[in-house]
Amino acid sequence: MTPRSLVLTACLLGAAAPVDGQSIFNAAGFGLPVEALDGRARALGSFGIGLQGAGMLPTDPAAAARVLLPTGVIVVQPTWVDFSQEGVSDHDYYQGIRFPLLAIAYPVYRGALMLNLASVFDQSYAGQRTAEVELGGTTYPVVDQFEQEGSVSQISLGYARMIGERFSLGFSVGHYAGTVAQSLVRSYEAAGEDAIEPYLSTGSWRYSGESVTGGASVELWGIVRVAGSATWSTDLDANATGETQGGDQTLKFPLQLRLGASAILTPGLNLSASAVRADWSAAAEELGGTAGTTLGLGVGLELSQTSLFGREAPLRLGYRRAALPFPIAGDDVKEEILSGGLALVFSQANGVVLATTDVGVEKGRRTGGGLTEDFWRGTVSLRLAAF
Amino acid sequence: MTRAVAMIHALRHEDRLGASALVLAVGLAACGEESPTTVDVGLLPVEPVTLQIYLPWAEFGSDVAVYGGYATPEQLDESILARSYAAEGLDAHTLVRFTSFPTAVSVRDSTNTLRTDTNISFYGGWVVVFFDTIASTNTGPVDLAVGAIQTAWHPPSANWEFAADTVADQQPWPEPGGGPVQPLTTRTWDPAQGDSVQFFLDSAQVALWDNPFDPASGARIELLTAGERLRVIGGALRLHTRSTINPDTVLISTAGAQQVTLIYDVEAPPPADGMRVGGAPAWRTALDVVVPSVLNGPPELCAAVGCPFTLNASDINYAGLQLRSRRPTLAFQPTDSMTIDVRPVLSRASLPKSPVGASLLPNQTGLRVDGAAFGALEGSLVEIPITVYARAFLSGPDPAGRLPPTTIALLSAPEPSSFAFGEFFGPGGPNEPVLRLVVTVSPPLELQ
Repeated sequence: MTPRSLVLTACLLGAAAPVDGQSIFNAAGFGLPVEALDGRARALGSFGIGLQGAGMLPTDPAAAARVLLPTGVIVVQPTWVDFSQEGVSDHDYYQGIRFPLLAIAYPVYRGALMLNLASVFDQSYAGQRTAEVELGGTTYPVVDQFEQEGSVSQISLGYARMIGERFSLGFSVGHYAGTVAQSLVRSYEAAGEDAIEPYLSTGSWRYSGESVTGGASVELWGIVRVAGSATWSTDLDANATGETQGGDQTLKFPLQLRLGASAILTPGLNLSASAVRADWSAAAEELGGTAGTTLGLGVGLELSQTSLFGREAPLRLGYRRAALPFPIAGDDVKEEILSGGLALVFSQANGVVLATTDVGVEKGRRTGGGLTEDFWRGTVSLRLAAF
Repeated sequence: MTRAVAMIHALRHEDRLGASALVLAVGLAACGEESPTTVDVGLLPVEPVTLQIYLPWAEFGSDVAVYGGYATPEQLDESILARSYAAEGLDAHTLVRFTSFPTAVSVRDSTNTLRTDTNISFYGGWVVVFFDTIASTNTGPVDLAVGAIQTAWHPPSANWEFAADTVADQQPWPEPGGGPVQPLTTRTWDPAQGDSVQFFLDSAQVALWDNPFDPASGARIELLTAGERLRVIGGALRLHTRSTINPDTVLISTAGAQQVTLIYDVEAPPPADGMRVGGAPAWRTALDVVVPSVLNGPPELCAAVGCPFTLNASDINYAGLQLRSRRPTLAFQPTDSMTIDVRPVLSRASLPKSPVGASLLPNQTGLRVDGAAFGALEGSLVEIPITVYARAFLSGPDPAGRLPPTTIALLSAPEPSSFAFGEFFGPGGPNEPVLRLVVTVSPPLELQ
């Protein structure tokens, strides 16, 4: 690597901010799964596997075999959410931003070495409850404020290479890491003169676990690509830290299977589809919930020969639906998303894209347990090659 | 591949900047974080339980001790006049040393121009004394006298017997009570007519106090009417002043009270039991307070988190030392509200000279108690917050390894603040101190 590339790498690593809470469904189980996808996959409604071209997504390790130049990707994902609750007329609005993926691929040994920093679960949310406490004949209004801040991320290192001209293999070894901190504060709002101090209860846990992801892809007839991958993980252990009185927790991570395909229907028109499946029932036993097998399906269309301001700017449309692994309030949670987006190719040389920004815009809904989130989510990924 | 690499140099720098700027702009556009907040109680941890616990003295307190002698009457912002007051026959005089007389005045001359005249003379004046009519015991007229002190005296240490009473120098008054004095004048003060009295003096009498550096300089004000106690809240010497610029105009100058002290002839003995706070010199009460770290009740607590329950510092929302007021001897009984402070004793073994820490009270300015609580309303409940102490007690050693104090001191705020002192019932009996705790508990937070 050149000094310039080292600086760029350092900047990308520095930009990988902690995941911020963007969904009330973060309260379910180990949180809301955060897929580490880029703007292109989001726009196509994909689960990040089987897309045309070279890829650097952790879900499709074999796609990195087609990376020809040192390449880096960073993904920014702002979200705006309208939250409503069954039987409650008021809506709540919140927004946040996360950096779900930072990926670097470097061609080496006739293949590519990959380093990924990816979000796995988002667990941040807050809640408030009002109550009354009677002390010695005096009633005090109290407010309980609960906050949970945390996330699970994964750092993985992998390698991918072509086997022949049509077949590629890839694998990665990952380590789960992260922390979550909880605090419960009871405040005695109207007890100023009596100087009743707030009550504070806290807990914090540190996550650890390992994973292995393997994948393969093949090109058929020059117009179809089919890819599959599987991720096996050890238990995800949450160990109490400091003076936390709460116990340790373990999440039995299921085997996650992914299958995707894309086809060039006509020059400039691509169709993609993908699916993901995992059996969370073992995890449900640990968490005392009712999670079972979840299945996600997504399809997308890409018009690859469109242009904007004289630059190549592929247009994308997609749809996906998925079941989330952890129930909330005893109910399954479903997510449905319509998406669209485009790419702005800033620079390419001999068909190799050197600088591009992929933008995905999603309009989706999550429902479960009487809770509904209607959200807009943007995903912008910056991909630079040959740095 | 090789060609592609060769083309890298053709990559426009502006393109990279443009792509980066787009990502940055999107990031900044949504930087205003608003956490998802639920009102669904089903997504929150179990509701904490808040309850009150009353601990009897035997479960938290021990080793009550009363110490006297803190500060001096000269540090008071008030003074006392008394004669044969109460059963103890309290006599109390107020001694005043005035500031230097003014050396210049501003006068308008014949052209109405304001000028400063340093060539001035004094030809009489009056001593004015202000009283707190509510805190004074008399309801009718009382007679007072003012006299010029004849003996060198030391305001910070002067008392009834001694004009100076320091470790290095102890000089008795020729007559106990600040005497003898040169009688100057007497007056009658009727509280119905106002809150002050004036003692008019001639030029020669005024001239007695023109030198504050004279160790014998000073006025003694005494009460002549028996059976009363007056509270003095201020005084000054007003001077008739003549200027050479405008000799026909009478000017009034003021020499303030530079040092004021009170001397009295009755010493209050330490209480045989109970607690005492205030006075001048001041009394303090020290007591050991132990906050239990394990609770076995009440039933609501055991139902919520099980018993025995280990109490943590953060579980305590409030701790209050509940005391019942007691009437002190009439001579020293407060006639106005008094302010009480509570501070940790940093070294019990060093009492009465142990330093005390910062106030434990939330407002840091003291707890005001109605004076009637130490008289007609004896037995009134006075609750002194010690939440900071209780939490520190349960927190154990600080990061530097220092153990938290286990003793608190009750004292007046400021110290001294009044000639009078208040008392509280001590251990034993129906009015013994009680510790009230407000505790909040909840099961440990768990990951779902």
